[in-house]
Amino acid sequence: MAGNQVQVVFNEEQDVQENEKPLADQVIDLYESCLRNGLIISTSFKGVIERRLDPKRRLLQTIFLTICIVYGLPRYSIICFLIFKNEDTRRSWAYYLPDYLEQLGLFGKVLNFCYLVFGLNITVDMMLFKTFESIGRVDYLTNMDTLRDRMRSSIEEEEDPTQFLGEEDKTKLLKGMRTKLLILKNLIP
Amino acid sequence: MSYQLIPCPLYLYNERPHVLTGLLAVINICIFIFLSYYFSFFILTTYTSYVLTVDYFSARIHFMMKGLKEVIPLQDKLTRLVLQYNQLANDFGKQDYLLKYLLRNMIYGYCAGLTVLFVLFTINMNPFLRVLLLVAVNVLSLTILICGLYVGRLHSKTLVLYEELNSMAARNCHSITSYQALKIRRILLNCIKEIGSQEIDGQYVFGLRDGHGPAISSREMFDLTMFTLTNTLMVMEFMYH
Repeated sequence: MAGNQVQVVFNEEQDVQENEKPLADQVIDLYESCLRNGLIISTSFKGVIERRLDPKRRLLQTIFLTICIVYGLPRYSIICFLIFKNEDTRRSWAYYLPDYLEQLGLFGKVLNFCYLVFGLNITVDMMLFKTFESIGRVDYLTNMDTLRDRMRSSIEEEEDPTQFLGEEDKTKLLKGMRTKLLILKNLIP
Repeated sequence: MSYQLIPCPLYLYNERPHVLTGLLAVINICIFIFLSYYFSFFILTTYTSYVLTVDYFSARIHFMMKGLKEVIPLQDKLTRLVLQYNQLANDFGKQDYLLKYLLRNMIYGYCAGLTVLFVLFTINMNPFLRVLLLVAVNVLSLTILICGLYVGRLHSKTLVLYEELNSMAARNCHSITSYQALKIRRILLNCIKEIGSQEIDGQYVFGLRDGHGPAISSREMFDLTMFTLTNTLMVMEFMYH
């Protein structure tokens, strides 16, 4: 009982600390967590730039890619190919490649193509992310790290001629980003 | 995930396959539950990242345009503008390193993927089943469509900046007094030329592009959407006749 109370207090303290963080840090942290959950990057933006990658997530990326390349894509390529073949050919293959999506009729048949097209797209994209992450050049994502407030601490308080985003625009941008990221987070179970 | 969970038991019940085939089907469903989780997360997050990149650059361009309206000495304004422009151009150049390949894939996915998704909408089935099965299709096709059109919007934003810079350069052509200001104005005119230059392979592009061509524009995305609709009609013709 006492342990539970300690845990609740600890969680509440963590929440307070999260809320005390500046908006920029909150949003960028949220963005990083979404990207990490989607296996797009394996660690934080700072980690990517400094090439300190998380080996566990890298392994998960590799497993995902291997399953896609070795199992998923060949399976759906053959199934899609067989859709254009006659009934006898399909029946002979059905023993090794059970196409249960056909239970949904025409919808299932088209769904096979859907898996193939998007599977191919995702595999290629993930390979690109993995390759570019290993050399620390995921610039379009890591660029967002410049929005963090700690980046500004080194810049003078007075208006800097090289400043690329005003305070008002930055807040507006961050709020928009937060809304989109929250929608994304709630969309996926 | 429901696309895997609904038909597999149906298959096992209706077809009564051989034990090994049934086992294969069950193993397959386990693998695809794992894959589908990351599939959906990956695809939605990737598309969201494109949208956020566009937002980021739009905000920077907007900030540049806001700076044009400030009442400060012309030379200071031009100096600041050139610095901001160089920074923005530098960042656009950096995006090219990875994003151009991703956007090229997105364009291919836009054509092929959307065609397949649109075909799914046209298939006749039980209305209740339709509601259940088309939720994910709806979300995915909307995400792809909105993201594609959103990426094209950045080019329009750069064109607005081009117009603003042009009109500012024209308005202030007589107020240049010092040599330094003249020099900066010269640089600014080169920047304007760069923004206005519409493409050509291998040359500098102010915006996001797919591969080595010009920046992706709203017009291009609109044409692509129309092309996708045509493809869908073609596939439907092939399927139903």
